[in-house]
Amino acid sequence: MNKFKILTAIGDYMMFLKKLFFHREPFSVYIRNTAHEMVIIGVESVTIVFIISAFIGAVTVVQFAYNLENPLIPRSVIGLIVRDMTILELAPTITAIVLAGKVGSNMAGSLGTMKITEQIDAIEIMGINSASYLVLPKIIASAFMFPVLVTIAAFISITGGYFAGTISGAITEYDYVYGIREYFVPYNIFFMLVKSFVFALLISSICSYVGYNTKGGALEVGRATTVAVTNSCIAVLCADYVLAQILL
Amino acid sequence: MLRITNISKSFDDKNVLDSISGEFLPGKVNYIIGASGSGKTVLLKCIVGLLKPDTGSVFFDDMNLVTALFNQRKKILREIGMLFQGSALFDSMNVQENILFPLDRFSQLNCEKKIERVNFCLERVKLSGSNKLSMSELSGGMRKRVGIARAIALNPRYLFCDEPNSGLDPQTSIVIDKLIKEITVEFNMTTLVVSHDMNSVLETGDSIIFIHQGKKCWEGNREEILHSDNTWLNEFVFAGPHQKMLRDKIENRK
Repeated sequence: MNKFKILTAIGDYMMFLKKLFFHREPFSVYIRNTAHEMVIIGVESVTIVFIISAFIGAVTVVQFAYNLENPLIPRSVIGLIVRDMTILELAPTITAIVLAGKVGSNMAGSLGTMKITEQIDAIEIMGINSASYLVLPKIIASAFMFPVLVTIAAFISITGGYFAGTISGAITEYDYVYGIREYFVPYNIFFMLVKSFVFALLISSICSYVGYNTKGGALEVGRATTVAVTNSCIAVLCADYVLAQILL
Repeated sequence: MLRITNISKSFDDKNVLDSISGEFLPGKVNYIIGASGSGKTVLLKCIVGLLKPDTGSVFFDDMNLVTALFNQRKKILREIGMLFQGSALFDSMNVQENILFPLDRFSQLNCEKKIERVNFCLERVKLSGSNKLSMSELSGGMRKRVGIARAIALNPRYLFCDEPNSGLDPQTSIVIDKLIKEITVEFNMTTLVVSHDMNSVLETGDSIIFIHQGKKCWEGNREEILHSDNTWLNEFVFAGPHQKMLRDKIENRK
């Protein structure tokens, strides 16, 4: 029974995605909405991304320095590890999970509220494809803004590590900078951006799908928000593994 | 003219509507009445295309909304205005932006003319000057009136109202009823109101359909409703002791 439920949900989700692109509104309609969503998703998330990634970088440096007791391993390895961990995993994945909580819950909550207060019906009655009109700008804006936020997160995380390492004396300025430049693989940046793009699509579409299909009252909106965030986090982690297998 | 034929709708095993037909004329306020859970809102949603009926047709003039292709459907929907039970105004917009929403999408008017139209609609619902108010600043009655203003913004031929008086005090209810009636006559719209408020029905109902347990049980006008011998209808209309007293007085006058 549960197996069928999951299959039905996946089928519904696919139909929902199809609905976004068929009988959509003229392209000009989406430009303003997408710009507005870019502000909500991108600009308004910079602070939280900044704080979290700065601390992640700082903690990573301090913990690696603590574990790196062997005198045969150069201290510059800390910089290298922080860089690779940040670019390959921490920046895209942790940022995505944070954004699933902040942006995804906002999407699910606002769409859920619109659904139960019949605002979505009001749009439908005007002959507008409400799913496309409301959701497509969110997905496009996410696809643009997530890679930007993840890039910022990576930069801030490495910078945070630099300050934490040098101020605490765990690593010298020279070693850290040498470490983050050592064996640098530009492909990893591409991998980070691909990941952030895929995570953006997953989070925005799953949260929108759950919010758009909310039924009931205020209690169900809260429940939908929780489900949306949980499901999108699981999807992000699954996609993280799949992408690592495919692209690395 | 709006005509529905043999509309049936079920959810899972539950039959909600059973072969309902009816005709709704322009310039008249047509009511669908019935107890809570009788299926009247489902019927309204089937008529406006928010739900697809299992069987039956909904004709807007000669065009069947149920089988219409996307573009035809769009054309029909643009002749429809709807007032929702909770008004369904967009919280993120102020009064003016709410009324501008359909105008921005579908009218060819320039900016100045659109604002003129907004002001006309607001004046028509007696809310002149409230353009910049946010949704949180509006009372229940004001929200309904803004809902009506948005519904008539594109000068629709059909107006649908889902429980327009729910949550309103008796005086405000009368104001909304009168407004719906005035607008219907003024713009010669085909208005269909779903309600269980008998005061409104008796005040403005030109044509009334009574639904009981998903079936059409009675059809008539506001004069006939008080003298009907339909048991289900009488139980609905004269539900409370005061209404029963009213019925006895009517019977005694006979």
